[in-house]
Amino acid sequence: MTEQTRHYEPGKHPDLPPPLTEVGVIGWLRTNLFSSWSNTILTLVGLYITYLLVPPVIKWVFIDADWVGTTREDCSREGACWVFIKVWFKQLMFGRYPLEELWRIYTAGALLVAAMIPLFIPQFRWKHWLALFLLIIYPIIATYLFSGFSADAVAAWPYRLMQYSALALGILALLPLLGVWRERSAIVAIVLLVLVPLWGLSASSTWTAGLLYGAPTWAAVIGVILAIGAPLVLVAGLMFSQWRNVIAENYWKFAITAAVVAFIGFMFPLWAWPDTAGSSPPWSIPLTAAALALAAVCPWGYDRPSGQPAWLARLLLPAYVVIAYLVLTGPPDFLNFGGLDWTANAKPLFAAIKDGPLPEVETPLWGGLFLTLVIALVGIVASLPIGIVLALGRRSNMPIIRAACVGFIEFWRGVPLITVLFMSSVMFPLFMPEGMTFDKLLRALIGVMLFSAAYMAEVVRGGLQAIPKGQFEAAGALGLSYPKVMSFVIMPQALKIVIPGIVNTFIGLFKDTTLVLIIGLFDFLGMAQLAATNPDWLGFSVEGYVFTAFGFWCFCFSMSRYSQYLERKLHTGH
Amino acid sequence: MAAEKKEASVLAKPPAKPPVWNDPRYRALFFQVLVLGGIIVACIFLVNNTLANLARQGIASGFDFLGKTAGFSISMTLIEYSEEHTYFRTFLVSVINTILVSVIGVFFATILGFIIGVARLSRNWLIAKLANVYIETLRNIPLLLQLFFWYFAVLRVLPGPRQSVAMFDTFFLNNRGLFSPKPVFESGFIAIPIALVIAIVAIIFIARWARKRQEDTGEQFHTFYAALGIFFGLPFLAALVTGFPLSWDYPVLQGFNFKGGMEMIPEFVALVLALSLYTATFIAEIVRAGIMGISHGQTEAAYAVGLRPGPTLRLVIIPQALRIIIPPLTSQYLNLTKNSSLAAAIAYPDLVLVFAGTALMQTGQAVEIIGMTMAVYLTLSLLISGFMNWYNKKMALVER
Repeated sequence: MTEQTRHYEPGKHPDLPPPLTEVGVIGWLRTNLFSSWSNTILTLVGLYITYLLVPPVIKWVFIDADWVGTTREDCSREGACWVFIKVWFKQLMFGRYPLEELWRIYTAGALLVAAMIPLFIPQFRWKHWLALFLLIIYPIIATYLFSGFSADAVAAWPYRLMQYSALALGILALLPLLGVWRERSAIVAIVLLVLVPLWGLSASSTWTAGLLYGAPTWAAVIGVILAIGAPLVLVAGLMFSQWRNVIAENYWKFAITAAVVAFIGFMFPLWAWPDTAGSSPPWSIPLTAAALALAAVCPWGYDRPSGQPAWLARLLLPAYVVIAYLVLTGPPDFLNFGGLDWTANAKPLFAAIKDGPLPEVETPLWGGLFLTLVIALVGIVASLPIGIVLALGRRSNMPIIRAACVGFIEFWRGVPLITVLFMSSVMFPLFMPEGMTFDKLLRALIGVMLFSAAYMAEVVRGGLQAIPKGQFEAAGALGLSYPKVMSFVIMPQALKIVIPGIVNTFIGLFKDTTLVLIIGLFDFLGMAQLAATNPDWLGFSVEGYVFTAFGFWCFCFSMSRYSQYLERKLHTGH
Repeated sequence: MAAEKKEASVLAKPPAKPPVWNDPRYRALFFQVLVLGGIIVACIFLVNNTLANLARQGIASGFDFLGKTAGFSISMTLIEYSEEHTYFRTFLVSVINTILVSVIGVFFATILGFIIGVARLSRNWLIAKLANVYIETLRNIPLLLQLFFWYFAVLRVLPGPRQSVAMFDTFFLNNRGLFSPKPVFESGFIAIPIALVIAIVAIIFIARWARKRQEDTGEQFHTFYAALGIFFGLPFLAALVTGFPLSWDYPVLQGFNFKGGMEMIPEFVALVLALSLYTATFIAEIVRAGIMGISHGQTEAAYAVGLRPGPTLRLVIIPQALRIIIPPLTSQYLNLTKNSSLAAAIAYPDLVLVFAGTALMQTGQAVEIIGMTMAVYLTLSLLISGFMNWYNKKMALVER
């Protein structure tokens, strides 16, 4: 009895396997490659193209390639000569950066990677602080690691530090007057607690230099202690509630005492200012010190029960702003008796550091993949905040601000990056006052930054437009101010929507960094080009291009995959 | 009663006016004046510095230099140019070169992009994968790198004219460039373009008439075949009448180089290749997204009302897909035009190389020359986006 003739009850027939032509390899081939005549022809054409491309490429890259050796004679010239890449590898990665200083790049890179990893871990809870570190502190560390200290920068740093901390103090002291953070003067005080000693330290280093000219040591020490100590003690008083009330009741007495003590302290080393120093003592320093001491204790004038600024604070703040300006621009001649060169005092003291652990590596020596990453990362990090501001400006109701933002965005978007780089290298020096010069790399960075900020602004604007009007109105109805509406309600939603667009802009920027080779910076591609034109290694340009292409491809492809992953992850569905 | 009265009096009282610094109007005014002031101060600062710097370097500002003799030659010119011509002429030559390479690049990139985009959606697995590999490879590699590859690694290492790579004995590719036959127009040739213009006008009228007739009576007319016939038939007829006043000048190897025919310098070929291959990947993705953006229900609905696959594609899917495709396509065209400035890297004589490069070096008129260069690109951008916006408006969904 054969299979065909067996009879079954209705519904009792055992399941038969599907026909061979519909499942398995054959079925897959039939549906996907040979479903119709036209499809079959297409498949054959595709196979032919694959045959033309793949075997020769594999043969060239792997089978016929030369992997070992150190000179061009080791290459048989039948396949790729990877010896070329091996010999030039360090240059392709780091340009002409001194080999013995490479540890600095490694350190900065390792730090970056170590700090970035937790950002990609969903469970990590302190992402905000890590992001702040990466955006503010890391760039400073990396800049000093990469470029080291130039002799001028070393000599100028006490003065610079003084400028920056004076500026920061001024802004902080002004905040309560503008109504911002009035209720948080304790936080302001804590920040001041850090800034005042920093400022005092930098100022004191200027007199320590004065010591070199003969001022007695004890004078300098007492001076520094008094100068830093007085405001420090007062600010510290804020931390303890029982002191706080006592100080608040006698606010002006304490403030003036602090100012006078600081003034005396800062005067101390000056009384012994030697004639041999070649100039008169910098009288403006103690004056500024007194003002700073007052400013440092100012915020707490607002904590009085009425909540109104103390009358002293009202008087002191304008005065402080004027003095801070003088410090920032350097003292005018009528204050700076004898035209003292402020930075000159510190030079001998820090001359030792010049040959210290981090000698300067000038930016023309930077190159290779390292330079590509520096330009791309700086452009990426800087363009996002500028882009957000521009996008908000473009959506503003104020016609002048809107017009300015539209003009800015459309201008940069309308011209090619090459002309921007040309402009930054040719016209930038013309725009600056005489004697003010910028590094070539810095000029290129500014160009790249402005260019990508315009693109970023359009991406962010797309996100802003996608937020329904009800969100703005609801947030406004809750009584939130514009900055709060934007930072707590609108931006988190808008930025989430445009993450793929932001990553795409990043990818575009990363590829566009190659253009810097036109203005004479040797990035990854530039080094490959340079290596290929080396007389000893002529004729290996293809290897160089393939290697750089592979490098760029890896970065761009992984970024685009990451953006697709984010898109899926953040797609909450509405 | 008393309470009501009190309430009324409270309501009648005008609300307390906010202080000036809390009034949104004054705040807006304040910030705008601040920004305007900042911009004006920045402008004065920049202009002052620039004038001072120029005066110190002894460079006279102004556009007088455009009338002076340039004194350098350009390797590729579409209009008559020699070393005796003025800087203004070099400007024109380089602008035309930039436009030429952009237009040709846009043409090839669009065709290739549409083909690859459709191939990416093909039901044939192999074709779809090949298209995918093409897109993912080329669009993740910087354009400048591709340009270098085509120019330095492919075109410059080609054999010399004697060992040219020949295609059908009419096209020759060697390290001096690409040589192709050149059309020679004889007398009476003008009849053919005139016939072509007449044909196009006639097609427009026929299309309008056919559409009106279909709307009135429901009868269809084979507009496409009629248009095809007229488009090719009329010029052919004109050519027949005038006795084919067109011949081809073929490139011939003479001595060490080709003579006659049309010569395309290798820089041009490399630039067109790189620009169109690179931009095509983006266009392909746009086309794919456009087609995938049309829901499958549209096709099913079209079939349900009895349309055949051809008209479904032509009348239902493509018009809707175009609506999605056009805006991003515009920005790709803009990108291609701006990217054509990479020509400077391989010495194709475009605006950036000739005008913002050589002319700038010779005259030192940085402000004027960079300004003119940027103005040209801005104008091109505005023209392209203006045209595409017009086209987009025409294609856009007409809503109530």
